[in-house]
Amino acid sequence: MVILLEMVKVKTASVRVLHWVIFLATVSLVLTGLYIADPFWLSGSGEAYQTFVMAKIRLIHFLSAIALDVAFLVRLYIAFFSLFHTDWTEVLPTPGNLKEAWNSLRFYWTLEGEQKDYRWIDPFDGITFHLLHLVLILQLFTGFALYVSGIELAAGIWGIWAKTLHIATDWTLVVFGGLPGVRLMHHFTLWLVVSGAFLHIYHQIWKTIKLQRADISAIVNGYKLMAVKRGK
Amino acid sequence: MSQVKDQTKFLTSIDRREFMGLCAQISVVLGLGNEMVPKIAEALEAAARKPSIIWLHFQECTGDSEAFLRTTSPSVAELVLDILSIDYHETIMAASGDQAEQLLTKTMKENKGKYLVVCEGAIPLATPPGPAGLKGGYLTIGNKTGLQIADEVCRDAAAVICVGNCASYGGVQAQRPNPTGAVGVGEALGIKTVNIPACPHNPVNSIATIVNFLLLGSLPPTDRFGRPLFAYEERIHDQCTRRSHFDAGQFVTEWGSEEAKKGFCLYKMGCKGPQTYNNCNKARYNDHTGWPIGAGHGCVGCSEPKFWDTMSPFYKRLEGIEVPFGGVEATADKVGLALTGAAAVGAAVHAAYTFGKKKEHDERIIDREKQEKKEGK
Repeated sequence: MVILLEMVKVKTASVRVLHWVIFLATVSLVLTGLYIADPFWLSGSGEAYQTFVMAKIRLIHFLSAIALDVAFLVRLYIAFFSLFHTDWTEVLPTPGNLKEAWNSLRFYWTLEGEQKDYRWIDPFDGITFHLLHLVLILQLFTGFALYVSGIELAAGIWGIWAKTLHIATDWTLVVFGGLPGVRLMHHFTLWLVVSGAFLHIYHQIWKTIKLQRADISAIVNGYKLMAVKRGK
Repeated sequence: MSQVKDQTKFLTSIDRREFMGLCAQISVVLGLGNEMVPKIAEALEAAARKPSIIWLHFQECTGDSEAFLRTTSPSVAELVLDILSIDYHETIMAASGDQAEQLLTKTMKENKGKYLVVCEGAIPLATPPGPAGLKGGYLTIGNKTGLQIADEVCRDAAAVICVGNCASYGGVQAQRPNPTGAVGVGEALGIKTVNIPACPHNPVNSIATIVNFLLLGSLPPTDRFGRPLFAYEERIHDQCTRRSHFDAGQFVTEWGSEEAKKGFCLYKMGCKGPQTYNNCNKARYNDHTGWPIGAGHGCVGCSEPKFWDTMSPFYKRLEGIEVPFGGVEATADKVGLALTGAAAVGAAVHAAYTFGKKKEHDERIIDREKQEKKEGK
């Protein structure tokens, strides 16, 4: 039997653009977040009215957070209502997905047996994406809980926004023990994002080299290779 | 103003200017504005409605009473004798022993349902070891536990106001491991109290709460920790005199340095202003003269519940994380870096192993393909 490989479209342009928006926003958030937690690098020189370093970096942090959250929500919408391919079932930890993910994991470490060819998100990726997005959601809620504490006295439409954020995020204060706990959690989760992103990138590079299915190209030009059994 | 003046005959010992100063200050703290100052004066002056106040001490350092004594406009004598009727206060009352206890009983009987209770200090709930151990026995005054006293006095009170962090949330006694099981008064009795936390409380806020009660007959609206919103709605960080240095990225990195002299932001020195709700900068302490950040020390978050546990270390930005194995306290950064390092090591091991195994694996695939060829012709 000859294994023929074929280019198949797996990701639409919108999904690819959103992926890289999330990537850029995450990089920006990690860098500015580390600065806000400990302003180790830049410091304002001259009089206080001449410089605005921390305020600007916080602004970049907030804008990146908004970009990430909006991109995440749009991606969530696409996962459910895409005309090309809905993929929300592939990132759920269903028993079937978990079993296949376990098989993949075993294959990744032992190289025993054979890895199935998956056209869409493979179950192992699906589970890691699930965890990574839970971490991002945690960042979203703890981040907005910290953010809203600075606009307590807001009035008008801004006040409605503040009230909405309070309703959405006040549970984090109870769960993590007030603002200090939320701040600590938000900071610690940054490292979960960093290590998770690191493993994600490594895994995709490894798959691309080892499985020879051009996995990385899927997120760049939208196509990857699939085995097609043809002929004898 | 003139109509108010006539009603102030009983205020013989008080300077009118000082008294109006206090009223204006309370008006500012309550966010009411100038036009309400006469009303506040009226409420304070109405002798018939002069509230009877019972001040109780539990597990505490009397720091809140000390802060209360530091009000100079009006002086504490005027405050205690003329403006409020503080009928029972263990530290400053003249009576002692049995006489004092009789006074307490008398006040409670005469003003049943009308008197205000000001609590200072936490109430322990744990039972001391030994045969005669009573619940809450770590605090016993005149053969009664603090819990019993608080329960008796607060039962018939119109309102209970907790001053200081101890009475509000337990304070330093309730810090881990909390050997006496100390809790705030509201939690100990299961009642709703108005809390004026801070270490010590700011008497302006406490008096403003009492004035609010006198003016409107009800307690001020509070946040979820029972703190009046007029004082605890905004963070220290958002009203800080050093906030411009924070936004400018100008931080103190060492005590006694040039930056510290210039009054830069204390964020890097562990200031807890961004996590703390209070009106310290507006109300200030010791007759509106100073407050911690103004004096060059970071905020320690003393108006927040359990601040000894959640806000410490006071001189570092973020607290430690307890690592489950070994009980070592590490910073979030160390744990996070270790996690990322572990991920990197895991990836390296995996890469070395799988790419080292490459040949074997590929040969196997070729073998299988050959076999398949044979079987399927």
